Amino acid sequence: MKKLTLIVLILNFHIAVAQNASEKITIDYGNKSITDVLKVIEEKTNYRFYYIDSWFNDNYRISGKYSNTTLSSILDDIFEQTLINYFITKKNKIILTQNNIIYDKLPSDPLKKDKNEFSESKGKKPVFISQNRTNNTTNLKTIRIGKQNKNDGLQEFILTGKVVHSESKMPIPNLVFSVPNHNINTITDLDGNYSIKLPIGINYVRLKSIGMLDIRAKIIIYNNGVYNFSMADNPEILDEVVIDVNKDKNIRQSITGITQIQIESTKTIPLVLGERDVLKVATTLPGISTAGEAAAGYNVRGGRTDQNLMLLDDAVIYNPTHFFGIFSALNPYTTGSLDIYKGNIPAKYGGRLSSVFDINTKKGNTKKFKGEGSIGPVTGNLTFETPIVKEKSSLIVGARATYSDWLLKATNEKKLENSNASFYDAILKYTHTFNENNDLSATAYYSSDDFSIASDSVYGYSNMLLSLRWNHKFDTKNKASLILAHSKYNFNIDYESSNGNSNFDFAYKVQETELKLLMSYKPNSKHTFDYGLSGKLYNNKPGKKTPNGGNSIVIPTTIDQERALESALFVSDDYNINDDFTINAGLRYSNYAFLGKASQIAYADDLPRNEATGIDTLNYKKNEVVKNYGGPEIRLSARYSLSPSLSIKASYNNNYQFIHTLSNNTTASPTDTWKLSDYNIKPQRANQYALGLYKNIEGNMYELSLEAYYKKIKNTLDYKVGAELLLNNSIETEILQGDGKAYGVEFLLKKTKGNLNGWIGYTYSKSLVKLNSNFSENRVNNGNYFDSNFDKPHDLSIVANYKLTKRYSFSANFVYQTGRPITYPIGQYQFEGEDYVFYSERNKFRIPDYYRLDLGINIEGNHKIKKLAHSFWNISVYNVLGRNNPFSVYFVTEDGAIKGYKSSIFSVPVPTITYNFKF
Amino acid sequence: MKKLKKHTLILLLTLGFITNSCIDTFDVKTIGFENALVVEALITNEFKIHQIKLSSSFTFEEVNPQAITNAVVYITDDKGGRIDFVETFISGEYNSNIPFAAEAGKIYQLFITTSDNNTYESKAIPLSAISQIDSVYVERGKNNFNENGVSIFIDSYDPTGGSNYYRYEYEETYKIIAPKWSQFDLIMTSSTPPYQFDFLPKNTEKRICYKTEFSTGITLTETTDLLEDRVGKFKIRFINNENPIISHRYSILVKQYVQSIDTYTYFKTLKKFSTPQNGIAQNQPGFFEGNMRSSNDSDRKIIGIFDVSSVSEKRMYFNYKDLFVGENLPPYFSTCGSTKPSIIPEENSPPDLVTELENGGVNFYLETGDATAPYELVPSACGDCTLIGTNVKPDFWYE
Repeated sequence: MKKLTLIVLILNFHIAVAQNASEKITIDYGNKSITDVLKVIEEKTNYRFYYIDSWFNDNYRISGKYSNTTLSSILDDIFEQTLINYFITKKNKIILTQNNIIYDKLPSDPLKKDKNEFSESKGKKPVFISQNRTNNTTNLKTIRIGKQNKNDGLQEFILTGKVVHSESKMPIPNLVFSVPNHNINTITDLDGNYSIKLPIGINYVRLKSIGMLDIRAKIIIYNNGVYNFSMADNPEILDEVVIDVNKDKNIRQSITGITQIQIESTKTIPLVLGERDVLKVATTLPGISTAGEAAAGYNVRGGRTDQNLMLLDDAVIYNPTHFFGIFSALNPYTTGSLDIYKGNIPAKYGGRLSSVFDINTKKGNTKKFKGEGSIGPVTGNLTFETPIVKEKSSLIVGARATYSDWLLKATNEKKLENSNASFYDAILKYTHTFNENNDLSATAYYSSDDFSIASDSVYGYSNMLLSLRWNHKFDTKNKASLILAHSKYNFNIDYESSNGNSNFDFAYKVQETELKLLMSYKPNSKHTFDYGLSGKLYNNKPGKKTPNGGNSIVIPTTIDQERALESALFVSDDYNINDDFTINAGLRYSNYAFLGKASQIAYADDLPRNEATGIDTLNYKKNEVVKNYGGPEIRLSARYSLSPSLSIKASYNNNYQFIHTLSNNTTASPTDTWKLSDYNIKPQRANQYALGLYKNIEGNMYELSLEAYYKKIKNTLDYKVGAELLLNNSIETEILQGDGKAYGVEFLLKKTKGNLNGWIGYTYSKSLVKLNSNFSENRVNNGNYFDSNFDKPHDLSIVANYKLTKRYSFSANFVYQTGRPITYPIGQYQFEGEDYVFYSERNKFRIPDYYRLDLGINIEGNHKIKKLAHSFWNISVYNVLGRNNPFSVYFVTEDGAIKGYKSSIFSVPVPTITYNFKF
Repeated sequence: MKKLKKHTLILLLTLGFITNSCIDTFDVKTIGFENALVVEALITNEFKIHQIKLSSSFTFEEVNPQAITNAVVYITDDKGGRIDFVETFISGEYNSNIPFAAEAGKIYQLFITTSDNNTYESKAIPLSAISQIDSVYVERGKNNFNENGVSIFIDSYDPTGGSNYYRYEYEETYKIIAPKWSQFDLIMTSSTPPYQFDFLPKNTEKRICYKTEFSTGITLTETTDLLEDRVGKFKIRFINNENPIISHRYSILVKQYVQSIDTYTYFKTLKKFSTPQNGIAQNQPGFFEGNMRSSNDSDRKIIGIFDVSSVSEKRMYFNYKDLFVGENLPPYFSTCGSTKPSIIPEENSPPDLVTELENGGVNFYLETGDATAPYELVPSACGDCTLIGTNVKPDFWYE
């Protein structure tokens, strides 16, 4: 190999003649390996190929049909997906090279004005490369950027460009663009665009993305410029499992506490009942947890479940769970990426205290029709992508539905005949590229759940989202996005009584519409400004009860509609002070106005709120401002590099939250309602301080991070014991507002490469609540701090994937958590002849610790390129150890005596087989 | 809002099927015990000796609460009346020294001073509105778990609209007929060989008995969300058709208490925390106050409530054969397989007659004709109903 390279170099140096491939040939081949095709060409022509067999993968098959075509265009097609370059000599020899190109032309006229002010120059003097560098760099493609400007004297230049898929021409987002020799990294945005600052001269770059062949290149940069890459699929690593948490970004990025999950890479992680679930994968990372297996909602860094801003293509998704929280409502096949901000939340986001889950749907393929699906024990799932206008617009549609209803009926369990539980969700995203500077995307999403378990009531809930986003580029420095998003969450309860006279329908609805303008200005390599404004209008119907059926004598009841306007102005600057020191400073100004028409009760200041202490009823006209809240929010983060692979970051940020869930359960449930801050209910506020240390070992093979945080929350919501929260017109009398406090240390070690990869995450954290008051009825645990319902100090997750062969891979997932706190009775008493438990202080006791091991094996179908559908089987066992992890502990009075119960959701190993296919 | 409560939906049953979930019981152990006064004070509009019970909370290792003795207990009304309650021979139970009925238009307050000189008082509360049960009736049908059986419903209507909050109790009495009763008892006159047996006529009623049982749990309903103060076809009780208690004649006395909103809320919360939950979403439990408070220590916890409620009651009977015409009876309380043991032990045989009679637990049974050895034996309860109920016919009972 080395020898050959040398020959090539010599040939190149001495001959340096034009390729002459004007001879036209006719050829037809199908499903052949490249080497076979080359042999066919040799038979038909006088050309002879020079190459090494091992460069070609025999499983990689190609087909083609050419008549009277130049040899070079045929060769271009043959090698398009490979790293092979060719050089045709005058003596009908074709020399193949891997990665590097044999150039025979001088760079194009450096003085010629190029519209992008760049020129890609072909490396003319390969010898000078080998002088500079030794063996391992010889087979690199060399790219020359810019014309040197002697007067300029700058030492760094910005290279921008786009990375697209060689076949589909689709942009490749989240691709890591790194310059290991200078420890410079960036990643491409959702549109495949990148921008990287490179020092003058030679840079050895590497582009890396999952499932793609890496690109290595030598870039010699003399000025700012543009270069677009096209990247090919790596047909051998379709099943590679890598969770990309920040990749190289972890060291360089100035923001603390950001987690990024590549959805495609989560597909082999064993999950319950074979349902791929990106949010469940998120819970294996430090700082993100749930209260239990069937608890809806996520707790991020000790925050309540309502403190997460869940955005699906810019629209808020209020309840991203199905089936009481056992499954997530996000379609795993259409979801493209998930970014979670749990530390420093960028200034463009607001309205929630603990985190932002920014979920983006894939763009449909603009070249050809593609589909993907799965058949599992609980759901069937089908997704397809199709171009609408080739190369310009596309559609992606995904749908998923359960067959659990049918399963319930099939059990022959008499007790379940009156029960049903089912869900479905569907998503549609349309994207249209008008031109280089304008594109539009539109998303529609709907999810629905229904259940009735041996009861007179049928429960149903649904999410509906619509979003529209227009991206516009003014020039190379200014970009804008205009976003319009609408979200709705509602639930219903239909009750049927024996004689129908108390039949009713109950309906609850929260909906919001947001208009947001995001601007970005990048004047130079030192600054990136993001600024904009947003306005969000809430229109909630917090409860409506209507009689159902002719016999019903239920009084129609409606809780007054709630309206509010939440608006914000924000600006942030990512400022690279120097190579080692970066600051990301953001300021957001939030304003919240609770609007009429409304009537609000004013309570005496020095008395507990109840019916008797209301002193006045205030009435407001439509659109009249009832109450204003808000203020500045600071989002400040800084990074300092101690060495190229070691950095330290710190952040401070504060937030406001104006909408809260009302729940008198210990864990979230679908019938929790959302309540806007009003005359009596203040917004929640949080301050978070975080400090982190980030280290990459062996060139990102291992990524290590350690983050600590301290968070204070004000006006967190809680409820009086036994509070009635539905259809309550004076809900403020049931609500307690108190303080919250959370702190923790998060450790994450990831191995990102190799046949064995995965991560270990460990978190030590505390989450505490304080509900103090002058009045005993509003005091919990004597007004002292106590553990929150989701306080789990120790949380360990290990996720490992092992690729045995191309077709077989194994994965394992281990979780250990401290049991969550519960309220345990301190005694019993006799009342009306029956024993009851006596509760006193809240959350003084814990259920037993939680641990679980899941194992999975993935079997890929064979890799024949012409196969109709590509498929893989996933066989997994959830809870292999059969650990009976209690989900809840509760006490009931049965036949006059007390019984303690422990319930668990998955108490035995749950095996699952899922079939996945692509076409 | 009653119907918005989460029904005792055994969600885990569903999940159980799909997910192998499970519910286990465990022994509740006491952690951090706290002592508190428990007040049970229900005063009604019935003219009678009323009773107030005082006890204390107790640990899970104890079986019964400790009575609070030597307390001073009295009720006052806003018209200057005072009724003292005097401890009876059962400690912790205090009876009014005179019979009385709570009256509309008066406002009552309860005062307690315990022997350790702690004082407690209730809020001052009036008698709740008075409402009559219109009817109690039975229908065959299925319950939510798709079990066949009978449901007992009540209708009630308060045209004044002032009642709104209802609590129900019932006592049920049912007739038991021993299925393998015979006129005679078999007795052993000589327990040494040669064994001798004789027949004695039964001298007490052992064929027909009655049993009365009281409702457990808290049954509540409210009509505030309805156009009329009407309780319509409210299910008080469901009895599976395999339940032996409805085999012959069954009677139920339903008591309806009209409660104040405070009392109702107290009972509703108590119920919420003490009935099986769905195991998925669990209510946040905690301490909740009734209308009693300590007058000398505001931090002291008091359990229970002073309840001044009107009561009305109605009794209903039904016969199995009228509802289940021509259908088989439900199984008896115990299985009634019979044996005909040999008189003396034989190898590899079931226990012999001598042993069985010596051990007890069996009854002689003769279906027809003359009694000849080997004699037929059945489990005692099948021939003697007094093992299940009482042979004294209740005063109210009629056929």
